[in-house]
Amino acid sequence: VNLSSSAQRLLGRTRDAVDRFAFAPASAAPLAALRAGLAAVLLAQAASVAPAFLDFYSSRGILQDPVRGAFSDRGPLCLTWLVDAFSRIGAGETPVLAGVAIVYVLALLALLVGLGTRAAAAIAWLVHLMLMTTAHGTTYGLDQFALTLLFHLVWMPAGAAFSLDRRLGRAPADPSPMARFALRVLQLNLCIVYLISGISKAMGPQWWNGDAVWRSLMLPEFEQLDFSWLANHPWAPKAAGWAVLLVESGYPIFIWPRLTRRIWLAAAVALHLGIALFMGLHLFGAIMVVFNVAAFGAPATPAPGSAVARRWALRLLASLGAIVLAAELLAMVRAAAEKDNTTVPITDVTLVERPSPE
Amino acid sequence: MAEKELSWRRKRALLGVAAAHLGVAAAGGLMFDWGSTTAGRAIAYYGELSGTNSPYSFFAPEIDAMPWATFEVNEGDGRTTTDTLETGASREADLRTRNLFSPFLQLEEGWQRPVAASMAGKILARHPDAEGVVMRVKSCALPTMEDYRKGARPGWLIEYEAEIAPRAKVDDSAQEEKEGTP
Repeated sequence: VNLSSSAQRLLGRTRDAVDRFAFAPASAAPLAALRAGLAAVLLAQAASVAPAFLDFYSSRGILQDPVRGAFSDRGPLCLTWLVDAFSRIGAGETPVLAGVAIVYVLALLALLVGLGTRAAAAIAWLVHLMLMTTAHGTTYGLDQFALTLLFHLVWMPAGAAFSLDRRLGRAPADPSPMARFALRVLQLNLCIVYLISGISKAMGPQWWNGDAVWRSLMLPEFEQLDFSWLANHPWAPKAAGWAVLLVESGYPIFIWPRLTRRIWLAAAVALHLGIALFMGLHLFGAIMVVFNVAAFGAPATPAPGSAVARRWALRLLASLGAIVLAAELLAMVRAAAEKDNTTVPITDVTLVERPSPE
Repeated sequence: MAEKELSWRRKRALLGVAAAHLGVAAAGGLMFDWGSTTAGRAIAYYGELSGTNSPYSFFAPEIDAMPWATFEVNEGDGRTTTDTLETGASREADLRTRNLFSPFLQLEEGWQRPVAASMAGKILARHPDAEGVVMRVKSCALPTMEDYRKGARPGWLIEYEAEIAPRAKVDDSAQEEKEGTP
């Protein structure tokens, strides 16, 4: 009887601990930070990619229609399927692709200001997935993280703070158990990312001997400044490599205690700012900063006076949204006007391969 | 509009879903193969849709040089110029273009030739009078810090090379040759 009651007490305490950890009511502010931050990064990405949009996604782009499946099995979720469907009612490829781009940008803007948040997240996720599938060979880590985070936003109550949905009374008031639960999933997902990234880096010699840092700063595709002087101070890239291993592998442990959380968060943010500045991977750096700040940097407990802050944040987001919309439309119109989407079809060329030198 | 309290039953269901989702993310990170059973394919597809199939091993375990392609254009008037698929419109667009060459080098032979022809097609369209282009995919051979101190400097390794010409130009020159033959 005693054993059974002890076991029951233990079970009850475990259940309470799990309940507090996963469902203690929390503000949706961190989720709103993720929503707005991710939308801002993806809008910036859309503006950057706009000049080459048709090169990547059109059947007359870099990869012409017959070879567009060379890099992956594209399945039904690719833009070709959509273009084919619209061609049956006489729509050309370019207007359909332009329509997709406009829908994507509008969905991201709605996410930015939190208007119809779940629907906007679902549309942005689906279009992002289609864009990734269509031009699979051009994608990289940024796209993968964006897809994961957009997928999270579909079911998270990210419109419950700093949003027009909240202002219009369409979103539940925070704090809520679902906001805490969503935040925990986000946090654990980020811990998995860093643990695996840290371990896989530690499995090669380059991050231990400093070569990885040397290469990331000196390879022409990443080189932003002349870091050749590091060759005379090899201890510096070596120390930086060890620091990266420590920050990433230690993240799942040291991000949780209050004592070390700020240090680890600051270190992770500094790491990604470094990647953005010194490797020129601006948007990849930005999305990881957003992921970190939303997961562990934004307060999940509302502070006094937050209602005023919220109003101002909302106004700021609305203004930012309007500016970004104007800039996006301008960039798209300019790109469309300047774009000469021509190519010479594969069938109109001959190709002779030369043997590669040993 | 306040959110209703969650029952413990619903909380348990949510915890189960979250555990499964994070399990797929962890398995994706470890590059776990879900196999070809219906359930395995369904989980793998969920990983693709949710983005949790990523190995997260960016810049790991090593940082490899990203291949890059140049196109040496024979302009047809005796001049030779060098062009690239990257247009310099934005760092992001150029990075994405450059991303194509790493998987290009891994393509099977059946794919590599038409993909190279397709890429060259973009260049030939920019140079309508060109007689042809030589496409070179190359990677930077960066010396180690120790070798750099000893005087070694970065160089380029050519990993793929092909000559591509517009069929019309090839036909024209064949015709000219034929006519010139006694």
